Amino acid sequence: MHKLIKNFTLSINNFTLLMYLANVIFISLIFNNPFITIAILICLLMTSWLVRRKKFFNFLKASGLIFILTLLFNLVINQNGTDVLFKIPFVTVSTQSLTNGFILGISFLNILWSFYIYDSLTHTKLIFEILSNVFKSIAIIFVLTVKFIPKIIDIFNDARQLYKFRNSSPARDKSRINRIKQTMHLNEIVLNKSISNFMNMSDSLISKGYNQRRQSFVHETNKVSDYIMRSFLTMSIIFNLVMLTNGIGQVNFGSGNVDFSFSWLIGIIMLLNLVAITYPILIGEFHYLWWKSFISKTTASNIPTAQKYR
Amino acid sequence: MIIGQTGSGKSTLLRQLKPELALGKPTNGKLTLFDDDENNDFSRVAYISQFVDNQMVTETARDEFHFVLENIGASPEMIHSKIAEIATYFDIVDLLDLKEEELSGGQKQIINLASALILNPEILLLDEPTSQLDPITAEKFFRMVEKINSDLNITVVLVEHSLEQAVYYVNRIILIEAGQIQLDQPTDQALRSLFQDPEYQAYIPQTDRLFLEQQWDQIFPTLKLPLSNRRLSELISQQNEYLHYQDHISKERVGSEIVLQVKRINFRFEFNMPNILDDINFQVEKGKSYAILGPNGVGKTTLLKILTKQLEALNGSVLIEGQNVKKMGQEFFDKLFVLPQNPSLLFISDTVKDEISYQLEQTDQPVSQELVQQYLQKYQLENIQDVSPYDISGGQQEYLALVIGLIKDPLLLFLDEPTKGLDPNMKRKVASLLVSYQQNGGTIIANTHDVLFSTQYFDFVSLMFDGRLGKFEPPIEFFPNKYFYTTEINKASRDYFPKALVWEDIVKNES
Repeated sequence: MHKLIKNFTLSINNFTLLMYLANVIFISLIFNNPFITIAILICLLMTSWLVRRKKFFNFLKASGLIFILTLLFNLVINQNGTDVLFKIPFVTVSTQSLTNGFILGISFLNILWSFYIYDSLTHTKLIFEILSNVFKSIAIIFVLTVKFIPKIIDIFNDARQLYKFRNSSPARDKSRINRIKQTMHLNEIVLNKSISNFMNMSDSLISKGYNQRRQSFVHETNKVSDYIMRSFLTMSIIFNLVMLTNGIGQVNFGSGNVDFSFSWLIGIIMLLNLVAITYPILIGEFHYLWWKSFISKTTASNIPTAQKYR
Repeated sequence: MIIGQTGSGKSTLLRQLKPELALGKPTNGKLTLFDDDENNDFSRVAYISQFVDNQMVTETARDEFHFVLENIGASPEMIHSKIAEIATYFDIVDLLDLKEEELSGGQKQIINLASALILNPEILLLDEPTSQLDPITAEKFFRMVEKINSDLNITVVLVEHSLEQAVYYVNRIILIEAGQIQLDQPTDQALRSLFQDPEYQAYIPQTDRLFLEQQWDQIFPTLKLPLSNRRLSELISQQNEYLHYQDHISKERVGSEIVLQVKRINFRFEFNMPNILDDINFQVEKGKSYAILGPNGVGKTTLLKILTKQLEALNGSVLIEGQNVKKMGQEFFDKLFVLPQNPSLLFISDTVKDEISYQLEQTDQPVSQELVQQYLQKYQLENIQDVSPYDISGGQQEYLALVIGLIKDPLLLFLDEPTKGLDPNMKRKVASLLVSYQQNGGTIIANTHDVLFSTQYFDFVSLMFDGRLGKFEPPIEFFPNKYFYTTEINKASRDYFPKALVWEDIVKNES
């Protein structure tokens, strides 16, 4: 995580962070005007890069593939449009259908990248707490899922590797059907193994008193930065809802006559949502400049013990 | 401390002491806390299991403490002060915000301990808490438990499969056999009682075994067991003139053909990280056993995964019988067997019997019920034949996985922590199976923390650290050169018998 984002996460509490993430997902979902979606995509990519570099390129490759698939799928199902570019058997590609597919692909990418940021910054415990106040059983399923999906993937990979060492019959059947059977068998094995892991976790929940949980609200200490950010987020949500209900920033798909124009309102939507998405970078940068200009000149004890407690 | 054979019911008993975690319902009997029927509040009992990785519910230690305290409805001020106290007491301030995957096994177990103690329990139940830790980390953990016991007056009930390390920290020993308490005595008395029973002699730590075998209890009747290495060293210095060294470890060395060659293997998980495996070179002779020692996280399992094609090395090559493994197909998997750290990953059937039956089918011989029964008898698995392999104890799983490997009878057997969770008698049983496999030409490469096991049963031993693997040497040459990483007997007797590694090596002079 880049130092600017780290600074931002330290300056607000988890509840405010969750609100920010919810707003990013909301923004990615509601607009499909190409000017807005492309601007949003650029901001999302920039924020994602700073939030978590480790998986960035793998995710970029996967999302590129998904974009191409979405584009092709839309070219097949939406063949409206008068300005025909070319024809291949069963598919007529027009400027309109290509634009439609492109915009839909970008919108889909925005949703994927907003979840990439969510996945990097989200705080499992907070969501778990919010859920456990409303639906206790769902909260357990949530925490088990979050904890165990990566574990199940590991179990699957390990079990698949180790299975090769057990299955050593020289007369083994190498037919396709047998291989499918083996894969199904392997999935069953992995499920069996995962269940025993789930059981251990239920012991942990019991021994940590979850079955007698008394807490009914979320504890978060609010600072001035939390109030500022939440006010901004509330304004952003209200503004976007108003735009949504008025159909501004929306494109009428599938009509074969996609009309997208740039207006000053589109410009405002773009500007506000760019700030909403890149807010962590802007705040981090502001804090950094402030630190560089004033605070870092203050002498402070910098011995390792003091750093540890700081 | 509760001890007993693998599958004797130790963990089942421990879980009964916290009714929410009990398996099934007691058919009779009563559980009372502090002799007070009116106040049977079992929230005063905390429990920690052996599964280091499955105990944290949330992402970080700080969240975990919040979670536990919020469950009892603690106020924000109370939560803050409790976390401050516990983090300082356990010296885990710098671990509070690390994610679970960034913590080592030992750190996770200390956090589990801290989150159990944050509610001020009066009784702490520990179910083989160190079974997944290396010996040095395990000792640190026990020291922490001892500190809690003496500082905070918390009663600790500990289930262990081996006495070797934990015995120095306990006041009483309870022995369980087939679901019955056979012995419940103070530590000193219990060790002497165990010595009287040939079935349990192997449980006694090596230092105390030497003391009892030499009948020094008659010369020093007031000495209390267990003995520290320093105390034993003093006794040896006093008795030195009546003792001599007799080698029980050296094995006859006959060279044989090379079966595995590892050349310049390098590996790292990320581009900008130091190598986890750094230029590893060694070769393995057919019919020999090799043990790789080293603390957690030095790359032992990574090396094993590369040798068995579960991971791919950055560069270098691995040759089996002169053939590069990269060019081998299914033949590679037919020639090898891997016993992973978590043996349950190997299981694929619903019962122990089916596991044996499946493995026999892979040998392409006609598999009848009689044949399966013969194997179940041969490996003494009849009692658990109809039980799911996931429901047997950790030690039994380890044993079953090894049996499966031996039925396959591979050219090379790779073992990752083969003695984890095994009681001393079970270890001997495993050792005898491995010896007979070796006598039939099998070759073993094992990662282990078990210094004593590698001393007694392996032909060659090496130490791994910082991604580098030392030279493989016979135990008799390897351990006497080590100051810390050697057997307890060697540490205690090195001034007089520098080559002594096990209690049998020090014998009385014949008069």
